[in-house]
Amino acid sequence: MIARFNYTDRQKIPRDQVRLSWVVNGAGPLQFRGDLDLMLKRPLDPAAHVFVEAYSGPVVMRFPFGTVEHPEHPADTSLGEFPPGLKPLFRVKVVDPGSDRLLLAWADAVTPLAPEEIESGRRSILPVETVDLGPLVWKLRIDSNQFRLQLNAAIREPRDITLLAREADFIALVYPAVIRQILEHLLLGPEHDAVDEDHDWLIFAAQLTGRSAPARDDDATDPTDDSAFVDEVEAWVQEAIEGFCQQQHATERFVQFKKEAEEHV
Amino acid sequence: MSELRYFTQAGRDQWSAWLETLKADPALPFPDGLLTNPDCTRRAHGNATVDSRVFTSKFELAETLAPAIAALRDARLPSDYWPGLWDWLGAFYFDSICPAGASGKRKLNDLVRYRFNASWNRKYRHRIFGPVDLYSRLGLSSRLLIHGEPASLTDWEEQTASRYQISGNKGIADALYRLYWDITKDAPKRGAAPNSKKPGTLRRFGDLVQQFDRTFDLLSIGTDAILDLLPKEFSRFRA
Repeated sequence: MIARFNYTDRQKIPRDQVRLSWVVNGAGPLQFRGDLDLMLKRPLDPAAHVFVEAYSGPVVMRFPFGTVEHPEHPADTSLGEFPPGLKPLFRVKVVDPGSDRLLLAWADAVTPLAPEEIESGRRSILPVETVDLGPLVWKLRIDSNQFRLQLNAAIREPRDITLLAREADFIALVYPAVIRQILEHLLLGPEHDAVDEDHDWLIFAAQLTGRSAPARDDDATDPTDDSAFVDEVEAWVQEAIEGFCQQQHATERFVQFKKEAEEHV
Repeated sequence: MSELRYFTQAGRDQWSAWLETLKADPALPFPDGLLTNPDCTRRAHGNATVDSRVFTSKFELAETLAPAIAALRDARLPSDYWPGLWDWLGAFYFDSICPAGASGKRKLNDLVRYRFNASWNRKYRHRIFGPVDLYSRLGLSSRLLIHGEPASLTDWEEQTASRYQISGNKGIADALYRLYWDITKDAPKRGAAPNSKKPGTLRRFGDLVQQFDRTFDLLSIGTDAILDLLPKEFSRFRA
């Protein structure tokens, strides 16, 4: 007989109580700073250990942040085990000080803010990273229902790929495909039952369409088996994409961009 | 000793093209000069060298190459440098990772084993990157996961390299070793890694570790505590 395990009643640390930000350190590895508010509904053991972990795939770097009662920020938060250009996700763990090492609270899939996001008070919901993509120009990295737009680090001509990705042709041609992939993953993908109603992308798309994401009463079964729901999702996603293109004046800017490109030939 | 080099994009293209031809003609000789052709390769950063030899095990291969790779990682080289390096090493040690049989023919497997693919669920299949990456993170604790001939890709790697809870955690890798390694035979215990989730076996261990990860801090819990958490179904491997 195969044994099954129930999870403990660990608490979720609300996202707005985990404030992480990137620290760019010239040519050296990326670093981060963390500010954690661990006042939760049920008070945590003051002696519990606090860790912040940066992760990408199987690579994990752990940073001790003291205890609940005595928080300490590590002096060195260099993310040297990740390749240049890659921005990992983060999780926060509060661990029982006893020998059983129970998780008392955690937050997962946290993205630090960039300096310009802190300055503007606006957070990007699609962070960009430049990595080796072989023959691909771009790719969407999906990790725990969080998304990153990956760009091919090898593209440096005629301009760096991060600059090319801000141009009208890229926005008009790539972003609609990205938005479709993200929304379909959230609503129909294998982790649909772990998506919060207030997920950044669902809120963003709701603003574009003027209505909330389609929902089902039965969250336990595979949503792709429900053809009516799939149709509803596809219609909503299409509306969101059209709303995005309208908001960005995608067609006009694309045509203008192409005209200017031809004039320079 | 030979200079450690890496393939440029042109070199990777030639390497891929040769692998494709090898599929059709398994007795094809290795392309002359490809490993040092200045149009296809460059000297690796730091003037490192590699020993031309045939390895008998993945662990031996990984243990030998890991110091040179660590030095290159410390140099923070851009990510587009690495695929060419892994592929050049694959080509340099091709007699280890795809040996020719007595007839002179090579038994080529899935090309992703020789041509590096950066996807998270493909890259560990590369027969140089996979073992070296596990060894670099787990050291001696990787000895069960990367046992066997360099040409082989076992379920021990498949089931562990893509799970961060195992491949980044020495305590769990040591628990696997203590549970499943037969010291007397110097090999995994019989029946430990079937192609199914039989009670007490590797795939079942992987599933449980994912569950434990939501309840316990597996990075600090230690090998003994991990073994204590395992239910009775694992008893037959504990002896």
